[in-house]
Parts: sequence; C-alpha cells; structure tokens
Amino acid sequence: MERKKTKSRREFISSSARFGMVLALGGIGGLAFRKSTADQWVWQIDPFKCSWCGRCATHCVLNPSAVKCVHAYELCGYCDLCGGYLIPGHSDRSTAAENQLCPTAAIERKFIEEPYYEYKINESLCIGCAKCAEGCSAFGNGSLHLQIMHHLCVNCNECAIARVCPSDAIKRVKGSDPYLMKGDFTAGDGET
Amino acid sequence: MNISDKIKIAKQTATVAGAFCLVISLLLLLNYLQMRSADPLESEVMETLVQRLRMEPGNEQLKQEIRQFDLLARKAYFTSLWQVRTGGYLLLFASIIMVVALRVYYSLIARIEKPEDEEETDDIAGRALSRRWILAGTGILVAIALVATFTVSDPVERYLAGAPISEEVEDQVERITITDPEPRPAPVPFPDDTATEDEDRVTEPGEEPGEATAEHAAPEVTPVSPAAPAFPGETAIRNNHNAIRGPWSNGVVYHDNLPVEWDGESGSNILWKVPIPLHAFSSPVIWGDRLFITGADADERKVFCFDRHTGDLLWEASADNIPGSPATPPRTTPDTGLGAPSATTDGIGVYAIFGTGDIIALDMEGNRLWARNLGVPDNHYGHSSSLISRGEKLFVQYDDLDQGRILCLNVLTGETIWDITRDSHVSWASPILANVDGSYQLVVKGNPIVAGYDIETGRELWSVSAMAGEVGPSPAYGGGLVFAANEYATMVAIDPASGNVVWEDNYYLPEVASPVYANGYVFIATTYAVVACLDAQTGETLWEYDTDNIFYSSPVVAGNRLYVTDISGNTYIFETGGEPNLLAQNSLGEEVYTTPAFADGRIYIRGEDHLYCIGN
Ligand code: SF4
Ligand code: SF4
Ligand code: SF4
Repeated sequence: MERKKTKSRREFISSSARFGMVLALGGIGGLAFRKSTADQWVWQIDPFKCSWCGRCATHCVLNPSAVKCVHAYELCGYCDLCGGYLIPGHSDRSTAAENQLCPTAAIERKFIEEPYYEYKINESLCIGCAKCAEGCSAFGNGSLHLQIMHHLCVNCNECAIARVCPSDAIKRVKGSDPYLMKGDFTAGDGET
Repeated sequence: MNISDKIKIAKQTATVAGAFCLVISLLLLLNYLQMRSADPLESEVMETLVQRLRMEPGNEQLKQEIRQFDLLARKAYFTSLWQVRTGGYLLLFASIIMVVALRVYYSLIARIEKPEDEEETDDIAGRALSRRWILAGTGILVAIALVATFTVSDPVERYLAGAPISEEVEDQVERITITDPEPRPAPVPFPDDTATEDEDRVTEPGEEPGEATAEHAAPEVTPVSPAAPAFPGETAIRNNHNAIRGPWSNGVVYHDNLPVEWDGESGSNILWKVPIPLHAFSSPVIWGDRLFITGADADERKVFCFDRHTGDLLWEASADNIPGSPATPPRTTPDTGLGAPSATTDGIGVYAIFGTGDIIALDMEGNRLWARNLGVPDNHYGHSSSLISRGEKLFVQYDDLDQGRILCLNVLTGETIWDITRDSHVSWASPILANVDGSYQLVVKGNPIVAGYDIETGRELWSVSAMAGEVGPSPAYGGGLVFAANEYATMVAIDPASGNVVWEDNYYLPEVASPVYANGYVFIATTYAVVACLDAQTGETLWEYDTDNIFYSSPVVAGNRLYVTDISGNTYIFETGGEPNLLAQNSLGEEVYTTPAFADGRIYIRGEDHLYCIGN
C-alpha cells in the first residue's frame, strides 16, 4: 500500500541538502557551455512544452541521443515515492530493477533523511527517453526534464528531433544562453 | 628493397585493409539490423514480466527474473553501443590505411618503366576504371556502415500500429461468424416516460449552433426521416446501462436481484460466456435486450451487438469507408489500443468512437446512420474517452496533445452542434452528466481543469484547476458535489452550482478507475490495490481495504452494494457504508480492465477474451 506524503514534501526545500544540489546544477551549466558560442543559435527543448513522447531518444542523429535528462533540484520534492524513479505499480520503493522506470538505470537514488531521497542522473547512461520526466511531471512539478546537451549536440542545420517533435518543443535559442532549465526558466519565458 | 617489393607490400597492405573495412562494415550493418529489429531496452518480454509482477506483487522468483533480464538487456544495449563506436573508429582507421596504401601503390607503379604506347593507353584506362569501381564499391559500403553507425534504432516505430495487444491474443480469439441472424423486431418504443418528461423530448435540430467551428471535416450525413424519434426519458435511462459506468456515466445503477456470488472457473452463476470477437478495452453498454461492445485493431474497427439473454451475436458493423479516416491508424500503446472508448446507446442508435477519430452511429439493427472522422487524435497512448448522449446531443471529450476540446454532435445526423476548445492538455477521462438543480451539466475532467459545461451551448459554467499528470479517472457526481481525483495530483469535491472546492485530500488517489458516490460516501479503487471510502461531505478517510490486486475497472454502486473488479478478475462486493464490510469476493478467472454493465438481475463483464453474463 502506498500513501502520499505531499503534505510535508515541500517543507524539505529549505534544508541544507537542497543548497548542495543547486551548486551541482551550476556544474552542469558550466560544463555545457563548452561547445556553444555566444553568437551562435543552438537547438534547445522547452521543457514546458515537451510531452515526453520518447522521440528525443530515437530521432537524434547521434546514438545515444544528445538529449539527456536534467534535474532541477530546487524544484524537487526529494520524495520517497518518486514518479520519475519508480515504475507505476511498483512492488516496493527500492532500487531493485523491477521498480525502476529508467530503462538504463541512469537515475541514482540516494537516501538523505527520513523520508527524503536524492535523485541524480548519470548522464553517460541516460538515453533521453523521457520516461522519468513524464513520471516526475505526473507526480508534481516535473523537476526531471530533458535538455539538449551542447557538449554532445552537433547543432545540425535542422535538428532531426525538432522535425518529429509532436509538441513543437524544440526551438533555437541563443548560444550565449543555450539551456532552458526549469527553475531558471518558467513557461513563456524567452518566447521568440 | 627494390621497387617491386615495395609495390607488393603496398598492394598487400591495401588488400588487407580493404578486407578489414569490409568485415567491419558487415559487422556494423549486422549490429544495426539487430538493434532495429529488437531494441533490448524496449523488450516486450520485459514488459510482460513487469505486467505479471503487478498481478503477483509478492512473487520473488519473478523479481529475480526481471533483475536478470534487465541486466542482460542493458548489457546488450551498452555492448551494442560500444561495438558501434569501436567499429566506427576501426573502420575509419582501416580506411585511412587502405587509401594511403593504394596511393603508395599507384605512385610506385607509375614510376616503373613505361611499356609501349598503345598498351599504356589501354592499361591506364583499365586501371583507372577498376580503381574507380573499387573505390566506389568500398565507398558505398563504408558510407552505409557509417550511416548505420550513427543512425538510431527506433522503438517508437515499433509501437503497435493500433493493434491493442499482441497477435497471439488475436489468434486465441475464437471468431464468431454471424449465420443469418434472425430478423429482429423494430426498436422497442420507450414504454415509460417520454410522454411525461418534456425536457427529454427532442428539440428542434440546430437550434443552438453554438461555437461550431468550420475547420473540421464535414460529416457524412445520411438524411434523417423528418419525424425525429422520441428520445428516452429519465426512467428509460435509469433502467438501462446506456454508457460506461451506467446511466449518465456516473457509476450508479438502479437494479435489484443482482448476483453476489459467482465463480468463473466452476461456472457457478455464470449464465453464459462467449468469446470476444475483436479485442479492445472498451466496456459493454446495454439497451433493452441488447448489449454492445466495440473492438479494434490496426485493420478493423467494429461494433458488436449481442442478445444479452443468450449471448448470441446478433450483428456486427464495421467503422470503415469513413471520409477523412486515416489510411494508417495512429500509433497507440498496447495497453490502450484503438478501441478504448466505450460506446453509448439511447435505444434509437448506438454511437461508437475509435482511436482513429472515426465516430459512427448505427441503428439498433446495425445499419449505419452516419459516420465521420473528427480528425485523428494526437494522443501518445491512444484516444480513450467514452461517449455519452442526452437527447439529440452526443458529447465527445476530445483532448489531445494539440488542444483540449469538447464536441457536441447531433445523434441523428452527426452534424456539429457545438465544438469548443478548452484550457486542458491531453487526457483519457470520460465526461459525465450531472443534474444540478434540475438542469444537466456536462462535467469533464482534464489536465489541469475539472469543469462544468452548459450542454446547450458548450459554455463553461465553472472550472477548477486541480488535476495534474495523466488524467485517466472520470469524475463522479452525488450528494450535490462533483468528485474528481487523480493519482499524483489530488482529490477534490466541488460544488457544481458555484464552482467552489468544498474539500481536498490526497491520501488515496486512483490512477485509472473512477470514483463513485453512494449514500454520503465516496469510494475509490487505486492502482496500489486499495479500495478506500471517504466521507463525501468532509473528505475524511473512513476506511481502506487492501486487496490482492490493482484496479483499472471502475467501481459501480447498486443499491447499498459496491461492486469493484481488480485486473485479475476478482470482484469485491462491499456494503456502501462507513465500515469496511466485504460481502463477497468472486473470481472470474480472466483478466478484467473494463467496467461491468448491469441489468435487472444480471452483471455483464468483459474479460480480456470473453464476455460473461452473471446471474442467479
Ligand atoms: S520529441 Fe519533443 S515531446 Fe518528444 S521527448 Fe523530445 S522534446 Fe519531448
Ligand atoms: S528515464 Fe530516460 S530520460 Fe530519464 S534518466 Fe533514464 S534514460 Fe534518461
Ligand atoms: S541538433 Fe542534431 S545532434 Fe543536436 S539534438 Fe538535434 S538531432 Fe541531435
């Protein structure tokens, strides 16, 4: 039997663990700047438009895709019952394979303190399938979401994913600001 | 080392490098084809194992199996990626060596003393030609291999194109062929209340054109006889199970003598059992003596009519040759398919919609009244919202990835009466009709809004933004309140007269099954195998009952009993009170994802493969 802990989930946001996570997020941003230059236009996913169809994993010209899941830690509820980590109808809230939603086990779940867990994406394993992002959005705020990683993306003339994206979620953004991370960005920001 | 030795070495190096390129190219091609035909991360075996675990959550051996399989699948995937990458580099490396060796070889040959003039011309031309052939051939192979190296396999492509379940199920279904069905009497007129209930009479067609939009395909209209039929009144609707979850799609049925005990395996209280001709996840609906179900796969979409007393298939009708219908059905997932929405009937016609966007109206004999395509829904699982009608109005909740939308069609002609877009994302819930202070509202749940609409014009009467995620369960109405709940969101009780939220709770939430109201209580059945009872006025959880399995089928209330069936086919019958009082638990022996239909003294359950009639 599962019970929701949504009432107390958000209280955790002020804890020190969260602060550490925000620093970690900064790390991703720094790394990602490596390839895009300020005057260039690059492709990026608007996470508020993405409908998690899975095509990001299958239609990028790179294999595995340049699209990866990122985690907006400042939004995350650190839930024990994580809709992004656990498969619906899981038999147990554990790291056992049968309970994990991610097909490549790219999400690491770590106990912090009762009842909070930290979820971290191992980028080298992530294939950008959006399953976790869908699960996480279903549960609440969608802190797990997809982004095109610019240290991987070859910035095709026309992004092969943009052509098939059912939600028109992929658009060009300035190379000086190549990410549309949730947390830094809210729906409607930066519309061109 | 003399020049001919050098030539020999260069030639051998080029040959070996060429052969190496060829082998690597072939291996890469093989790897590519293998990944395309069976992506280990999207394996059906894994899906089946996980499904089984849901049914047997305590099966440790199964868990071990899943873990092993998961490890193998991931190993296979990452090994293949590694192979592709390494192969790509090797190929590049070998190609460079080959090109350099060829270069050396030809420049050395050029240095050898020239033979006589005429021979030279021939020889040079021949060499140039063969060189071109060799280079072109190798180039093509390498190009193909490189493309394969960087092209991805596409598991999304492998979504069954509309086939709701694997082919083996299809094979197992014993098809019924209709052998000259007996001529049926004309539709029975409604004996009850058409004369007394003015509000149920047909209104003049087209009286409220509303905000009908012109951009959608015009219906294929069959002329209707000028004398419009009398639509059923409250009592007739109450006496039938005309839509999913019964009258007004509200989960409450009005029948007595219903069976409390049965057993599928021994056949106890099973009056008849017939194979389902075409699989789908839609639920049965009933009018009078007839029971209707739909079925669909990538090739065909059909409505079936059964004699509910005998289980005889009376007729079947195909939803085909519909203008605007897509040649290739949209992709759906196997757990939804193209036949997830349930049909509705008003005793004059049967109305069915499919995941292709095809909507069809048939008379009670299976003759087509009209059919049209509403535009192929862009829905990553498949359209699943069921139909409901009132009088001449047929309501279609048509929220897809593109737009939240509700249509109201004329049941007699298929013409659009109104068509509204709304502030809602894709959803899988179905609309209900709620009689609020004497007039009906269409209550619709989506993501994020739960809203009430004026059935005449489609005008939004109230709206509450409370839902999130993938909205599957439909709303319920009772005790003057609308109840809407969704897993990963919340449960709200809304006063539909004012649109105010009366209470909110998120302790137990359903993912698929809809809530139901009875005698001051609300009941929900969850996908974590719990049936819960809440106080309808306060939202306080009064009791919870752990069962063996999860619920997709919606609970239905009959009198003071709650019937709810889990996916393995166990029906739990509770008393609808503030204490958990399980009256019976009956096994059907077959998986059930649909909601049963009820008639006087009978319960009809659509299992995965069979339709059952249960009665004392
Ligand atoms: S293709 Fe578009 S909708 Fe699909 S996962 Fe990628 S960004 Fe999201
Ligand atoms: S579920 Fe998909 S998108 Fe999420 S971490 Fe795993 S591979 Fe990446
Ligand atoms: S631009 Fe090209 S490399 Fe980048 S995400 Fe799109 S398809 Fe992949």
